[in-house]
Amino acid sequence: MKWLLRLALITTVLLTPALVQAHTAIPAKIVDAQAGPYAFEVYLFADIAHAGQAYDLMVLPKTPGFRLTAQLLPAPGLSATPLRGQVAPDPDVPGAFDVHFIDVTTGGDWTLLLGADGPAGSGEARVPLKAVPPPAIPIWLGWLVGLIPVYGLLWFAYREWRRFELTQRAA
Amino acid sequence: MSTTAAVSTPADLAAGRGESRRRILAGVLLLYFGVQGSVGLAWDIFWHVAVGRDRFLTPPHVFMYTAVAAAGLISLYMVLTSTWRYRRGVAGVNDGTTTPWLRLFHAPVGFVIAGLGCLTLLCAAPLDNYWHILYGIDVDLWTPFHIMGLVGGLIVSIGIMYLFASEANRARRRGDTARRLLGMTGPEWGFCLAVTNIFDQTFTVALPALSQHLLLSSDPAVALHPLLLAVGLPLAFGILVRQVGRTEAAVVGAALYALINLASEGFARLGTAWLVAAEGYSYRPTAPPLGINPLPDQQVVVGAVMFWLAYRYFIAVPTRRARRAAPWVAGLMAAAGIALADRQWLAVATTRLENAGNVLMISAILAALVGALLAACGDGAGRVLRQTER
Repeated sequence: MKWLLRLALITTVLLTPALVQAHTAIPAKIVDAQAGPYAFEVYLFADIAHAGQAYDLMVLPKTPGFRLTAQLLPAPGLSATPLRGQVAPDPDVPGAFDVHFIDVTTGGDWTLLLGADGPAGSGEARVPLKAVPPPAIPIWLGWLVGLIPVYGLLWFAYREWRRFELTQRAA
Repeated sequence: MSTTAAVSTPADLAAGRGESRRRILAGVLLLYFGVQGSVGLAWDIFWHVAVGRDRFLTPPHVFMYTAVAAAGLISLYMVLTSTWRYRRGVAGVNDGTTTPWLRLFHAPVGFVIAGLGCLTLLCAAPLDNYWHILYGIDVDLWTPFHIMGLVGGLIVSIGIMYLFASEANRARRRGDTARRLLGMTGPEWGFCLAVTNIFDQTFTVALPALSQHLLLSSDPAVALHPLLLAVGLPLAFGILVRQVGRTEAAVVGAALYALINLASEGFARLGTAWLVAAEGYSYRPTAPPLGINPLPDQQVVVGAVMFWLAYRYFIAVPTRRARRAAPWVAGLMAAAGIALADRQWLAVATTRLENAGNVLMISAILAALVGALLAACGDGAGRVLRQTER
């Protein structure tokens, strides 16, 4: 019985950070935005995004009754395509929207474009967002790793040719 | 542990045929997934240009990597079960028909190679994603992990080539060559299909030479695209002709590739158009038109026909020197023909260079020399594949 209690305690300690973060997270930044006739607060749970990872935010309407769309637009010159956010009602905060971007595809400057459309009209709000890329390996190292299969292929070709020559000599 | 046994008794023949059927069935599945992977690659390239990339698991990536995963699992299954059968002493699975690997496994070398190719592709995927995260979606095709992935695909097709070459050789040795279609046995057709991947990889690797890297050098001006084609296409022709033992094999391979390529291009466009409409994607401003060029990559057919004609002429000459020279001369003629028929390069170059036609003609000379050398290398590779039964 004691081992069961210990296991429960360890599990609780390990899971607590995740439980605390699961949706009662403290936002890093709250931005007031206006999209046409609709006003809302944008809760950014991280004030910078990490390229290659998902990005989440919450939109809390001040003026309710609109449909929300969300996109991340790359800054001019950034080699990326616009990203569509998945918008869903927040399960814990009545009237709020959760916005989830599966993958911020590359590092650089982005603009969060929030569109509101409802009986009172429609509009867009823009919130700048920066995405930080992971550390870059030197390009020479990238090539060194990337060409590993080529080295293998050349070694295999050489080995096969040697085997063939030995077979021919034996014959 | 089984030892090499000469296939002489009816029981040995039956065991050999049974083992061959098992391997050929797995090989056909590998071929299917190989083609799916190639089609997925064509679709992925088109999707990048037309729609962009908002995640790693885009529809073409899903299509492509499911093929890679399936091919990898089939290869793994065959390596493990062949090892088990070898250790049990199953007839037909012996040192003459398997290759030892890592001192642990005994399996047909084709499945080992194909499995390693799939592993390479699966390793290249996250690394390529990392590179895109750093440098954006419109990176050059000539980046480390794109090349890693392309070489991985090539390794898979080399594995399948080994598999079908071994089965074709074993069938020849057993005398099981009565059933033919247009003069080729089933394994020989499988081999030809596997070799089409070399054409596919060559055209894919050469793509940037139609845009960012038009010239190898500017003074003197030498076109890069025909040179790159001269590396891969004559190599494949040489392999085909030597392994199958028929000069027409080059044309058969080229025709198969042309059909698969046309189907790939059509699938890429139809799949993109359907998904854009169904999922509400938008096209990029730089998206190409959805129309298909009915003769994409026609240089391969031109090159194959020239290779075939030159080869036939030279091997008909009853001297050893002429027969030895056959792959060299055929490669030279094929590469020159490929270069002169390179309308894709010419269409781009005429908008940027003053004497594009002259540049192409000069480049054809260099391409011919490269083609001659690579055809000879292909002939050598074909000789190796002609005698393998592992």
